[in-house]
Amino acid sequence: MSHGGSSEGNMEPNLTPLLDIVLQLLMFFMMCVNFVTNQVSEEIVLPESMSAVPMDKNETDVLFVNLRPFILKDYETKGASALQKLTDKFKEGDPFIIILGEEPMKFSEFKFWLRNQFNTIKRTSKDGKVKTTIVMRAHKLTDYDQVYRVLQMCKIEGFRQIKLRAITKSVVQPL
Amino acid sequence: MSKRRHEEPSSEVILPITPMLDMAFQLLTFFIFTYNPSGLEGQFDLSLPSENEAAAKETKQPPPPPDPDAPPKIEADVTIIVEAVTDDTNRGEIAKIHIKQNSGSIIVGDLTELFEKLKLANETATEKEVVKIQPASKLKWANVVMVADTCRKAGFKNVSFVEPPGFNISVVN
Repeated sequence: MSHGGSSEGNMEPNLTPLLDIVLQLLMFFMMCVNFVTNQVSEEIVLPESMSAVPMDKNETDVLFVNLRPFILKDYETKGASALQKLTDKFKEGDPFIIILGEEPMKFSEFKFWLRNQFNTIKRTSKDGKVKTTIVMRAHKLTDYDQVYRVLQMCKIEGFRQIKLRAITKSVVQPL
Repeated sequence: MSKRRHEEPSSEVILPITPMLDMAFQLLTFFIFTYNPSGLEGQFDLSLPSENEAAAKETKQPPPPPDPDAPPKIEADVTIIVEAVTDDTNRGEIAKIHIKQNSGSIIVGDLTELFEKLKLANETATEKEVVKIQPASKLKWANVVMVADTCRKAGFKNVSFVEPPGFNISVVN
């Protein structure tokens, strides 16, 4: 820090190494940041699975379906009017389908939404085939019959490829 | 000319590091606070009954004849039936697990025991990679995934899910 040869006695600290370290740390955090690239919902806590394999980054033609039971206490922090709207539509434990950019849906609404999606994709597809993969993100507390119903609906409407999401067990999500 | 140049005061360029450091610290603080090392999401394929069967159930029609071009359907030797706890405190947890084979059916209490029995079942099964799981309607999805994981760990690679008992696709809310 001190410049031994200088007679002026410049006491300014050398900030360059500090800046180097700060910039390196900054770069690390910027690289680690999770950008919202998927239409995933933070409200879904996925189950853990050892057999879940990493996603194929090339798979871009996907439709995300988030499913969870409606639990009132999880939504108490929302505004009164939003909460009222939800409680008018859903009872405790009801299936709650979340598609980003859409209002939460019941099964009956989801069925029509899915049909519309399928028809739109089919119409806009070059060869008239639907190659879209349904990525199902089911909350770990969802009842099996609700998960099964959504999967069957997807199949009935014509979607051939369905994948289920889970947290890979080696990296455990803190609760 | 050169003499005059020597006489000029040296024009040292001083880069102001302090504001840059301030900004870098602010950005660093932002990223530290927003850093959330979330778990790595993975995915797995699943096998379900064909869409024809499901559609036929919805419309209450008899199932259509099998498609000759479709791959041959492999029947599983082993079926696992998972019962769920129905009381309020532990609702949706695993109550009992039945392992059904051609030789008979056995009941296991937990996943460790299931793993041991499945390993033995895998040795005697004709279709060593195929297993069917029939979870109860109210079994929590996390428990279904755990049972599927146990099956894969025991050597059954192709895990298929069967509809829960009493399931009716046409009933939607």
